[in-house]
Amino acid sequence: MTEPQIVPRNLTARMGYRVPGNPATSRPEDAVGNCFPGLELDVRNLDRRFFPGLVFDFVARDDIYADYDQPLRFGARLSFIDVVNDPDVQGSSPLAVQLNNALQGDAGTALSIGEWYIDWIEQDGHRLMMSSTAADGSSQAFDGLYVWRIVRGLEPLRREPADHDHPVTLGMRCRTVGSAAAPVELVGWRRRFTDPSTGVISLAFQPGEMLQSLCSPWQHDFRDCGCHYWAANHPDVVTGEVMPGEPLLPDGSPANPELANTPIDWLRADRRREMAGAMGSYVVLNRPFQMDHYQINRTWQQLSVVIQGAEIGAVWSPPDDVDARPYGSAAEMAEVIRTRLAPTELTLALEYLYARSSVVDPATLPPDAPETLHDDAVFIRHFILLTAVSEMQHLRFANQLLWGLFDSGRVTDPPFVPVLAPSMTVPTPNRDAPWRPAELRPLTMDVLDDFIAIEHPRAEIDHSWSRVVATLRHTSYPAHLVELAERVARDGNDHYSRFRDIRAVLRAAYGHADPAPWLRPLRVATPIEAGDAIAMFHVILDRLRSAYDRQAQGHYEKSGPAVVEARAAMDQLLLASDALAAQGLGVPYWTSQ
Amino acid sequence: MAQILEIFLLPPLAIARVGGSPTPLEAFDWATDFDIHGGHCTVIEPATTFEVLPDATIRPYVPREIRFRDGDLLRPVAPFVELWARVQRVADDGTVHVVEQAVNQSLLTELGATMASIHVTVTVANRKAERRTTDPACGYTARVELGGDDHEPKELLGYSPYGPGTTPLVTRERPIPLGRVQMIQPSPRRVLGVDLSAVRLRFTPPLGEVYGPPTAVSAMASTAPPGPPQTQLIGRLHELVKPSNRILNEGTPWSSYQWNGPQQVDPQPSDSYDGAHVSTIVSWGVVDDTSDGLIEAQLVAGGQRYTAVSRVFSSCPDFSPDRRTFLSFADDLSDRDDAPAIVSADELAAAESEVGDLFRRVFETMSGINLDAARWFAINENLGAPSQPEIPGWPKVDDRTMTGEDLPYADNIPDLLDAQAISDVSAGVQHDQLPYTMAARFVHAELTDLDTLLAFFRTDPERVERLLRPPFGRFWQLPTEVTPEPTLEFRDPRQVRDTMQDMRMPPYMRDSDENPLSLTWNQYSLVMDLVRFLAEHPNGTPNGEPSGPSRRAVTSLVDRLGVSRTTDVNQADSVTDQPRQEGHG
Repeated sequence: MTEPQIVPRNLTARMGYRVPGNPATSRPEDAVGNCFPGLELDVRNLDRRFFPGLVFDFVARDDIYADYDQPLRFGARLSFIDVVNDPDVQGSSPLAVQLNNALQGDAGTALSIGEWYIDWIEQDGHRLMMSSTAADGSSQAFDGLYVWRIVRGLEPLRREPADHDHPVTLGMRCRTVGSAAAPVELVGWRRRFTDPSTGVISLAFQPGEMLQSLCSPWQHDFRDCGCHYWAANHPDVVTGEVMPGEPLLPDGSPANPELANTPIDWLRADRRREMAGAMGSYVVLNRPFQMDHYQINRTWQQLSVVIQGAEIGAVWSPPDDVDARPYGSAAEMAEVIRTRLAPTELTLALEYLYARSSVVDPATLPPDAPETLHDDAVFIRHFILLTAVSEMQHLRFANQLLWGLFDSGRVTDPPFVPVLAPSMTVPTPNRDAPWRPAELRPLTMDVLDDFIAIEHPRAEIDHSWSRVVATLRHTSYPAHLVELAERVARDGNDHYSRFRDIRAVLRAAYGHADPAPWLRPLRVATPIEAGDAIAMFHVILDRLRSAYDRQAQGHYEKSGPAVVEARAAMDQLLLASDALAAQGLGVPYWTSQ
Repeated sequence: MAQILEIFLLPPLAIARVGGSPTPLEAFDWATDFDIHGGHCTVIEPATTFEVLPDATIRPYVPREIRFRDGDLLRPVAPFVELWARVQRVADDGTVHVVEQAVNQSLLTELGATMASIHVTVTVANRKAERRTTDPACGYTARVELGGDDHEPKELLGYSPYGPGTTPLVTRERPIPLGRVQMIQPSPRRVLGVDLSAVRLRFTPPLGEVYGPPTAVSAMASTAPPGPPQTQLIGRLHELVKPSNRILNEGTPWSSYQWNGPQQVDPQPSDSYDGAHVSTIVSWGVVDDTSDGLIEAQLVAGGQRYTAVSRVFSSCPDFSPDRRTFLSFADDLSDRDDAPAIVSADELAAAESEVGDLFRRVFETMSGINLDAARWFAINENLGAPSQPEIPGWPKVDDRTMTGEDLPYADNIPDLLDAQAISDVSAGVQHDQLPYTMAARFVHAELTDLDTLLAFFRTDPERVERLLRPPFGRFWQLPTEVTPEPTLEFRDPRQVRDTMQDMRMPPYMRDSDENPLSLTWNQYSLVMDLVRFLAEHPNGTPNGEPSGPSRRAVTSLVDRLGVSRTTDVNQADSVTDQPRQEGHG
């Protein structure tokens, strides 16, 4: 573990202090700042008192696109004048004295009778009206939340000598029907909400003000969060709980692929594990199975605590780390990355892409295709694509490690050269034959088993990356390199889990059917047959080589075009690959076949 | 001799979180997972925890695990608050020293004071019903006062203020418990680095109970998605409030309240109470036991009175404690009161670190979001907007959003989605129900690595600028008259297009005014300043500092080791490997 992740740069030193005994979830960094109306508090309540001495209500429509059915009602309405309890107005600065006098004098008297709204605001010579003028010349008051947003952008009072105080002038207008009250102007400032040294929110705010606009009861908002925006404290989609004794992968995720990969609705009413079906992709699909209003008043404590995206029971224990033996030297590690890991990552990406192209196109299935085949084909193709792209990321990380090692002087020979040639052998779990030839094969069940074996947490690749992590943890290596290796190690667990999920799905739906219904005929095309695809593939390698070369020299800005071109070529390669597959041909990524 | 200049309470703002268990949640910090397969994710790490013993002293310990619930009851977050002082001392040589230190028994003795010289007042209130009805008798407040030497737990019992002719929602005879507060008994020891003689108190929130009038027995809840109220009673029956909590007066405005009534000044959204969604939309008169308030401390020493204040919020649980929001209350406060950070050569590492942390928090938040559902919701919400002509070059606002037709914004998500149809509903299938959610996690996971993030910034700065939704403009940026077309530089609340959802980041989330969420102005400014700085200094900073943690670390390492690219392999490898100080998980 490392230092706690609190970035104190913009907090007062006192607000950054970690009080012994308190969980991190008691800190303001843990409370959600966007509110509608909010979880811990409604930050808009701060702006009700943006102008010292006055308290406003931002009167808005019940929806941002609703009609202006009560135009006189909308805007920033003066709720009351609060001179006595507002310490900012009690200040001794000339502006505070002037404002205090005004509020206790004629202006305050005028504002105490009738319905007063902000008509305009001026700061630093810039004036904005709180209404718009229609084509017929009539004035239409802004919605209260428009005014709130404008107020929210005012510059605060700053106390540093170098800064201006940014005084604010309010133009107030009485909207009481029949009122002849003259407009009132007040000069003040936008309140600083927190004390710059203590970090305490202004004492103008009375107990109960910060939460006053939240749901009553708060459980109402936990139920009705239809817009999915508080997931840091109120997750929407999670994975299920691992029960004690169930096997885990090294990254802490469950070994059971269905449990690891099925996203479930955190707000579901039936908490039984057996009833945790996959969450749907739009609200209507999920709503019937979620807790209702009223019900949640009683059942909110049944909602699960979620750690690392997965529900837990009562207790969370830090997972045990696996051991790995560091490499004997930087050179040994670099040699493994250069000659084994990087080329193998590329080979796997290509093997996976080839296998993906052997899966039937869900858009062109015959009418007599098995009922589940469409969905299964979509699922398989999608996740093999994600896995292949992930392997390409690993290829980049492997190259980045190599140039980082070379740059740091930990490895000096050979100089960094981008590794973009696939390995012609791939490790296997077979002790008698630890390496097999790289092969472009359709996604048969045997091939799928082979992919699973390759990605197994105790297989050669994960083992090697674990050793890379263990090696890079030492202080003699640039600190951030280890993050890249850790990312690869974690992703490997995900790949393993996904492939196992695919196998479980295929086995359940099709058993040992022969031929496998999810496959289409495919053979490796000749280079001539696959000319376009091969050209794209070479463009990708060429552009990546150029990008890595430039990035290794620190010229990221010059690598931009090459990265964009490589990405575009990858898109084209996918299209070409699909077109070839429709003709029964697979892209010959290497020529040995 | 010590002279107090000021006393203050830490933290200045604490968030308590309700829970039904009598045992509070143990302490933990956020930390980075350095396990081999940890992927550098944010995790929680057990931290020094205080058990409050029957004699009101505390026993510090570091738990091996974190227990979140006892039986069916969640453990509450019950924060401690410490009393501190800024103290001036004059040394024998006349030198004046000013230090900030915890007020402890030693300091009290030095000041000629005791625990009895301390007095604490805690006032918390719930004004939710009062805010809606505008009747102060519908709010309820609790206040306790206790001396520093009074170590008995004090219950905060809330009830409503009222005057002649008004009916209190909560009576003093049947109050709502809003938590309790206890002064800790100092003891002259230091354990686990903690001074147990320091003056501290604990605020314990209530149980998270719901209260109502006798009529709040059971009701039919609509199962319709969020939206307009359902005029017919169709739904499922549930108990509203348990019998023992039906203690409120029913003859108050809260029991007849309806949202959006003529001349009402409801907070928005106003359908935010039990009863709002069905039938007559009359409130059931239900309230909760959350609150916010003040902890005020006094210390009298040397005949002088010193005062300090802290705020406390008593709020809902955080059910995902290792996931941090990218827009926190702390970020919001900073955005209001602080000037944006300036990215400079001297502060480059700090800026990179802050932006890196921001993108980690983005991943942590989005990894819990059902992006498919959020996209569906946003597309359909846009349908309610006044008709807008499509602006060339702007992101799409209809069912083409985040598809292959939303170029150049959606330039890699569509590929990762594997040919999604143009629809508001994503084409989820069995075993792959949430394609957008999965693809977005995939994209953002990579950006949690700072080097990769900075490489993205430096490689394609225009794409970064394009993808990040700008915040609403500061007051000085907004034109006097609304311009005919919106700008991509900042948003304007008066522009309809700027209120519509599109795929710019963060996508399909709502800000505090129901409009599309953006980073705060300060956060956005920092990110974009960093992107521009990196573009303007492709070879590092003007003072020779390289950009990015890896390159900085590499340079530092080369300097430290005195090796160069010409060093031979054996020499380079002869450097002794030392475990990092932090070790690993």
